[in-house]
Amino acid sequence: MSLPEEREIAKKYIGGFPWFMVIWGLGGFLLWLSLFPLVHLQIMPLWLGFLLASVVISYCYLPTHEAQHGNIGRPNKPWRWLNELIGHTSAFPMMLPYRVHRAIHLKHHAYANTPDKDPDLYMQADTIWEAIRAAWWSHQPGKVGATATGVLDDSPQSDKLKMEAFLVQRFAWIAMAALCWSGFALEALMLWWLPMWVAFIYTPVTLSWAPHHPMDETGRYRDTRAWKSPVGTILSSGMEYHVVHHLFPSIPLNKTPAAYRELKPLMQQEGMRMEGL
Amino acid sequence: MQSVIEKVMPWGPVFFGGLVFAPMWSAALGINLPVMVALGLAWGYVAKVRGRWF
Repeated sequence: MSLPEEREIAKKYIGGFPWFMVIWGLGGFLLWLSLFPLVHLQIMPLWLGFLLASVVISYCYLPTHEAQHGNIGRPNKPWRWLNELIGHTSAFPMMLPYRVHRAIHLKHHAYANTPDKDPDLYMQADTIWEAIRAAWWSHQPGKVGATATGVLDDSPQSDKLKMEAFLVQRFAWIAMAALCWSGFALEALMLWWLPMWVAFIYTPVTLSWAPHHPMDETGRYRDTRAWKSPVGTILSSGMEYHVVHHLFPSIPLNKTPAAYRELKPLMQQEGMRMEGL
Repeated sequence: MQSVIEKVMPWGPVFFGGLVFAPMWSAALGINLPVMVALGLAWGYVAKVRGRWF
């Protein structure tokens, strides 16, 4: 077992104030908000606003993901409020209820690839095209994606979380409707609704399907793979190194490549799935 | 409250069709807003029944 050695290496990458994620989380949200007046006042062309909004919303899952793991501020620590603020605000453009998503995501970590227990298994697909279809399908009326397996049923806060999800999503819908009926309909379409759909596809395909494909093995060293992305590290949201995140979720995303290089010999000994990286 | 949510939730697509899609596509395509509201509500209802938007 290399776990004690792995932990010694991981310790070097855990801790410190995560400026990168804080700037990304708050900056991305503020940039997205600023697009509405910039486009409405014709300071920025609509097509450019759409491109920027698509990028910002597609990448906004990453800061909220760090917050889900408490990497910005642990419970009962001074920066916890900032952790929760970034968790909520960076999830909002995708209409994701943060605390519900955190509960679901932690289940994914506990039961990665386990049938009927891993909430992300709805993304299991043989090809990327089937994965895109699964992502699209999960957002159709009546479909609930990651909550389909009753993932919250054993949580003592299940009812509270479901209510919060209902309220957050309705608030987002009402905000979008209010924009539409107050002269910002085109902006709502091109800066929120369409970019949100880009993110609905990009996020689960890149963050769920790709690093866990084919989602048929379980275990610490087998449920996630290190893989060489054909579109590079940035366009794949750093998910080539997602294996490090599953071993040590407290390592911030921007430190996972360095941690991977140091952990790699130990992971190889343990039979980690390494595909081209 | 849970039962209220369960009754309201399935009507989400109709709300979306009439209050969100209609003004969006009216602005994007230049179609008369009342016509688009009617189309949006109908589209939302069909989506609710079929379980998919397209």
